[in-house]
Amino acid sequence: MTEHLSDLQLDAHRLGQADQVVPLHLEACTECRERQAFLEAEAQQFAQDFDPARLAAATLSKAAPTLRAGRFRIPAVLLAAAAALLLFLRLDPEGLRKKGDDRLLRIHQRGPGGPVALEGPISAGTKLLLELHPKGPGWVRLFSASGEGNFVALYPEPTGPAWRLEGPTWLDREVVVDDAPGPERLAAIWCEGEFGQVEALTMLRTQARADCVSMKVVLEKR
Amino acid sequence: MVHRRARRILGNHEEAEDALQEVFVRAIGSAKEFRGEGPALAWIYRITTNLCLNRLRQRATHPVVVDPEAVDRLLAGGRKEEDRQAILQILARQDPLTQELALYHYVDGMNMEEVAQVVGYSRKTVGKKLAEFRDEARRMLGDAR
Repeated sequence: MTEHLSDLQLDAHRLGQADQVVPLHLEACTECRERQAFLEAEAQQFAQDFDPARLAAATLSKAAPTLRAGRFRIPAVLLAAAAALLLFLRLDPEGLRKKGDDRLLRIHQRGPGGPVALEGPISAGTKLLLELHPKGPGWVRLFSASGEGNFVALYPEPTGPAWRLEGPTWLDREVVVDDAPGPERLAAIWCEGEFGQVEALTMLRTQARADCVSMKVVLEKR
Repeated sequence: MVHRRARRILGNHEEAEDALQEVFVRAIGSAKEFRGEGPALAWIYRITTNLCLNRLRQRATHPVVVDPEAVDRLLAGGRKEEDRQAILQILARQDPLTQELALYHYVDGMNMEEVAQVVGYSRKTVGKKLAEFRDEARRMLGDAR
């Protein structure tokens, strides 16, 4: 079991902390790509099955006697950070994939005083407002997927050129959440150079090109 | 990741969830011990592994069903998920260090260098302990057949 990547290396890759050698190996090794997909599916399942608020509360409750005893002198702020991390993992488990992606895709819904950041599960029919924060001038494509389905082009049309952006931009149309079972997934890819639909879908399945940043978001439904 | 690991070692969902909470509490409590000499992820892996192995040891002893073919395949370098689980069946009689090393190597697929890096022992020590474990496992399998 020495010639393949370990689970630790694959987890590090998923969290954007792996060495350069990991993506190179993945490109060439079917077995490791399958293992990566297996670990990814488990992570997705965890994100679907667990209620982060309950977990965070249980963790804090477990830590409370230790805090009272003062044995380890744990700063409460660190515990709050752990709880926040659990919540963040739930809302955006795949957003952690690419180190330094700086949240290319930001999702909002219409509020009484204007757009408000999306929090928690959403209902079918919810209208989403999408904001893109590219690293700089470049090209963008947006994709969506219902339930376990594959990603399909959301904007622009699959046959058209990618959308040229010079800086942070709001999508000029609302995205309506459908009533299909399972979570809704959104993905965005930004590249400094132009890229096509097929290349974009390949990057979503494997690894983003060197001049690109990709981001996927899973939106849980009520 | 922590939950997956705990579930794999402990074998059930509820205990894994409990372990997940405990790992976070321990990680925060021992944050000062993390000196940044290795990746934080490896450190979390190790906390999870030791906590779960401790829990396994605390369980009441009961007869374990061993799948000799699965263990054989794993010792010979196999990587199937169901075989990886089989190694846990024969860890009970091992000392804590061997349990930890075998878990990293056979269940997580780490090579000797990676295992050595995570536990802070030399590659030579890791290799020796794993070779002893392999011999012991093969002897146990021989007895079980």
